[in-house]
Amino acid sequence: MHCMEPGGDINWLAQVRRGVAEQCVLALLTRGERYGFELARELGERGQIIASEGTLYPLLARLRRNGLVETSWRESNAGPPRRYYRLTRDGELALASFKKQWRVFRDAVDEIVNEGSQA
Amino acid sequence: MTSRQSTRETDKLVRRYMAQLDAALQGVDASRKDEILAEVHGHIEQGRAELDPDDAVSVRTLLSRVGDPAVIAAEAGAPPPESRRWDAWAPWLIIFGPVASGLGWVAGVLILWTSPTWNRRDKLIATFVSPAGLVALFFGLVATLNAAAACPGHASASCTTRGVTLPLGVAILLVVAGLAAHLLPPIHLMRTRQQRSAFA
Repeated sequence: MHCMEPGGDINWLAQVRRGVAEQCVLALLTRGERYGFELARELGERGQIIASEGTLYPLLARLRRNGLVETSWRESNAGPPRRYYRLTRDGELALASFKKQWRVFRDAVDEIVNEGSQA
Repeated sequence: MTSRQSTRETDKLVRRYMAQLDAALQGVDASRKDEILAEVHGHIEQGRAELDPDDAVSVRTLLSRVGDPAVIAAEAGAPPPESRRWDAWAPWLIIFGPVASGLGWVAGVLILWTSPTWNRRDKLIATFVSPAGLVALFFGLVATLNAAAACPGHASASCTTRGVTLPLGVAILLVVAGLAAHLLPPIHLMRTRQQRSAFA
């Protein structure tokens, strides 16, 4: 891997992000359609979810290609038309299944990590 | 600094960033690459609309939030940097390869085409224009020597030359143009590569 770091610090985060950031984008879209800039700002401000604002766009392209989001062009009051992203039915299903599994996964990780620190 | 100059400076920053992203995305399929470039560019323009679009410092901050082109490219599944290992050699082999040995040039072209660092247009130009420039340079030199040798002083109608016959001025022009065509494409390759690695 080219992103291997001494201690593997960055590496694990990059790998976890790769799967989880997509789900976070799907979750943000349940509140209605958004355009890239809004999503990037929101994810960027929360920190850690995406490596940088720009990495959102390959992620969105991937979601679109996999049929989890669809896009449409809208005029904006200022500037050129914007590409809006909207959840598809497949996207909703994927998110629902993620939510269920994430809870179990997160609890299991917490439990193991905390056991380690109490020992 | 006048505001017109600083506008140009921020435009230049954005253009340079987009060129780096374009280069980093080499190897990603064209439609996906175009989509990402268009979206990132739209993002930057929207960000600029929120701030003083002429202020270089805030544009730099904006670009650093958008992030390192290499990281965006990695997210897009661009080939890892290992395929850029021999990049530094390509321009030099393209310049000196044909003179030293044809094999050197072949190696340079192989490195050039297997690396994702450069776009297709730059690869085509370096592959075809650079050797064509060398050929022009060679004929230009021969013609210059012939013209100079055959027509010393005041050229007359009886002045004869063998092989390549061109007026001296045209021959010299051919040398200059050939040299430029030979050297500029590989120099452009070096600069593109340095811009890329400056951000990585």
